[in-house]
Amino acid sequence: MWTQTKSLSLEVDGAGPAVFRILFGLLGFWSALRFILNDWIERFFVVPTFFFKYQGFEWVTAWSQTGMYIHFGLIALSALLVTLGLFYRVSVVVFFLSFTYVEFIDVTNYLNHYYFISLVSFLMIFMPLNRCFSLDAWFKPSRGSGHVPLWVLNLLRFQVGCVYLYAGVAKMGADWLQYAQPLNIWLSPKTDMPLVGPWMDSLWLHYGMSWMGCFFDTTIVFWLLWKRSRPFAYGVVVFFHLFTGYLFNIGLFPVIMMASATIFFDPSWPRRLLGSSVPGFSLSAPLRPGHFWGLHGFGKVLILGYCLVQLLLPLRTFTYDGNVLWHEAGMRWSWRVMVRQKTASLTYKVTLPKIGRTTLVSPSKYLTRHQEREISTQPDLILQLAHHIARDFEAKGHESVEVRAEVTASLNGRRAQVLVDPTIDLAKEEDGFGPKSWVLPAPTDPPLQLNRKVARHSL
Amino acid sequence: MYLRHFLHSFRFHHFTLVLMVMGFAACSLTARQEAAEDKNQREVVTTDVSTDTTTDDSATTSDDGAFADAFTKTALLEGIAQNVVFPGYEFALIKTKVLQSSVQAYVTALEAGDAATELVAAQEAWKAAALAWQETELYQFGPAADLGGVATAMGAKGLRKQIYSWPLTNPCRVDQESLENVFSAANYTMNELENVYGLDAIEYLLFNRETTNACSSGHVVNNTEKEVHWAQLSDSDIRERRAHHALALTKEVNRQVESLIFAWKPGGENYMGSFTTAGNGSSLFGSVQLALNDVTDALFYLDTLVKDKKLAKPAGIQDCTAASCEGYVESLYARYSKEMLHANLVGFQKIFLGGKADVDAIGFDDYLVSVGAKDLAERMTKNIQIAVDELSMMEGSLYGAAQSFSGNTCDTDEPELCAVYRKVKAVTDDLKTQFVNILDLELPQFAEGDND
Repeated sequence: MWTQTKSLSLEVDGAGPAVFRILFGLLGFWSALRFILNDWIERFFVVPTFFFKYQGFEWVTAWSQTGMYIHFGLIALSALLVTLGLFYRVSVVVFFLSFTYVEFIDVTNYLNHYYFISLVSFLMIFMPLNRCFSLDAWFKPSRGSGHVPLWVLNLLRFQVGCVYLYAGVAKMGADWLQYAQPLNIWLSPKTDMPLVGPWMDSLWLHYGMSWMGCFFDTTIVFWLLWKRSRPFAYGVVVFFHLFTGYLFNIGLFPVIMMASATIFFDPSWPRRLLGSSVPGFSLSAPLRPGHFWGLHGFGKVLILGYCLVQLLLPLRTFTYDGNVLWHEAGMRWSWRVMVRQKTASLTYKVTLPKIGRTTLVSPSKYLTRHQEREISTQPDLILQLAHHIARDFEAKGHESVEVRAEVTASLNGRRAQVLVDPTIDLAKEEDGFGPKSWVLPAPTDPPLQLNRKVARHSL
Repeated sequence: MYLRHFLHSFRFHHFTLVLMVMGFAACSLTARQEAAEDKNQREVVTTDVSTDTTTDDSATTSDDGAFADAFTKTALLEGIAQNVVFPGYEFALIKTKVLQSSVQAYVTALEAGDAATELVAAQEAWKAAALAWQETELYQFGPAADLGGVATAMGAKGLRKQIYSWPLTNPCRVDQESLENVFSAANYTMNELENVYGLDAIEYLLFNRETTNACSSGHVVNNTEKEVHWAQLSDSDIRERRAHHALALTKEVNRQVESLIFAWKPGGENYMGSFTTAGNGSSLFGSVQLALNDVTDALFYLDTLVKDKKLAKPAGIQDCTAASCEGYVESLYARYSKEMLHANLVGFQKIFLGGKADVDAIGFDDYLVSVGAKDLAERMTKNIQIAVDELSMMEGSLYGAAQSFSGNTCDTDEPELCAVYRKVKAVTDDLKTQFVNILDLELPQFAEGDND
């Protein structure tokens, strides 16, 4: 069902994208509420005394406790307004800015699905998703044509498609496919789960889930786009995300992806589902098919540019030598979801030439346990804390402070190996987008494989 | 024209197909790249942690993971609860009761006159009680676990801090309480912070033979304009006051250890029942893994407190750049830090092996062997024993060793203090890395994640 407007932009039924908006707003509201109700605001933004910054966003800082609660209140309110489609443009701008601001406060809080929410809310700023099923359209019927430009639909599909596709690409490594890691580690202890527990320590299941997970992520977009396979594919999407949500502590991620995958449906699906006889559910003008973009001129350039960035950004890791799971360069913004089990032990060695002393410093002196756990495996964050430690000692009157890191990390069950060159003075190293010569090579031995049906909670 | 036609007919699912092809191409590129790296890196000498971890074949235990075949996680929980933690608390209670009677005898003797013998007996009783408690110090899960904070363990009641609160101690406040003579009141500790009572405060009261107080000259205790101040007390007053104070605190410690045992035991609040039925109808733990996560969280005491605070800080290795750091030792007045540290290591060893080193029992070593990580099980078992032995061989007190330590970061095993530190670190490095990695044991999740 397609049409063409005066601006020559081809249009589609806005019902599907409007439902996407409603679900997205609800999830944004729920997400903010979780932070408020679970005391996460205090844990992640009030208790820490040091925050890890993104390059170029060092100016982003946490507010006071009250300020942070007000900030999350703003996120929740704007998300609710997005859901209702009330003051939509302003609401979605406020939601994007306030949500993304929080994401930028501390790198240790980075999650792929937060990044996804930021990207989608950014795109939604330019999308007239309030033309359908919104209070804006209800108050001002002239806005409620019920149509949206075709590029709106396709750009949202592209964005959701990127998540799945690159999540699949990230799984195409030897650890995942050849050794079924880290699923082998993660599933083995879950033998006391209801129903599925007895199989959780079976190696065939670990391999099966690894390969099926990779196949699912890499191809699901195609199956969702193909009309014939779509109903079955969405069923698989629901099963996949419910199952992974049941198995792992991944918060709202499964719900977000299940909601997002509805964008692959025919854009008129809500009308078909609810019936055109329901008031507000019929289109005022007929639609006709168009081609891919449905947009001309500068807008097309912007969209193509955005798509290019989204396509290339996750691929940047291939410009670095070595294993991204080890050196982590190109790990963020790349949809590398659930691909590694990594733990580390980190201590800093601080040399104070002025008094001729070298002392060890535990990261726990500056960080919460959550932060310490996160940074110990990520070289760029290890570097950030090294700089902070150097500044801290210099502020106490020491000069030419040298900071070295002693860090060993275990990747996917392997014996721990030195991650960062302990001879390098990190205080003198600069962060950047280039490869980090002070990160030592990844382990070459295969990961440990838990290969026995054990760990049952009862015989 | 052909290009325009192509673009016009280019639909979104075509675009998706292109993306998929790109994905597979990238994948095959990655796989080839990884294979090439593997080949190259096998020729690169990488520094492995094993190279700086001396292993000593003489360090052996009788528990060699022999239960791996019969291992179940419920059996592990049962072993931890029934063979290690609960008996540890019961033993601690026996010792704190002896402490109470010894301090009572000291008080009585002091009132009668000379009490030198009774004081020594009370001090020895304190040492015995402290050792018994230190073995259980790592077992800070369940009722002993701290309340509040970011990762409260299931069933936490904060009872550990009621019994022993180090490093939260405050001798000045203890003196203030002695001066104000309020310690005999019922439920006295209810209104006080934990740093003025417990075994640590009792140590100060029994072992500090100075009659001065631990407060600064400007503190209210030393303000002679106040109605009650320190200078009013004679030496004998102070000794008597401190003895009575110690007795009151000893009674309170006993009461708290009894509360802890009551909270654990079947027939009491039965935390043990909830713990051992984790994942099988437990009212606290929906899965065995949750219970094991709490245990693992508690085991990190070996890293953050034993290694960092009890060993490294007083030695000036870590978090202290002053000329002398020995004042940070755990047992400053009884000079019993080394022995207490030894008890901590033995406590860790018991929970790792499921019991004493010379007794076969189901422990984490069996868990590791059962999942195929025999190397790690053997290495940790051996390294724990080496650390225990190293500390046993250390001469003199930890305070003395820290005092004579020249201050370095222990890159070698010299002096002896460094050898101890490095042996403990060998254990904690494995604990923090491969151990939690392969058993997927970690801190309780604070929030959602997608393993980025």
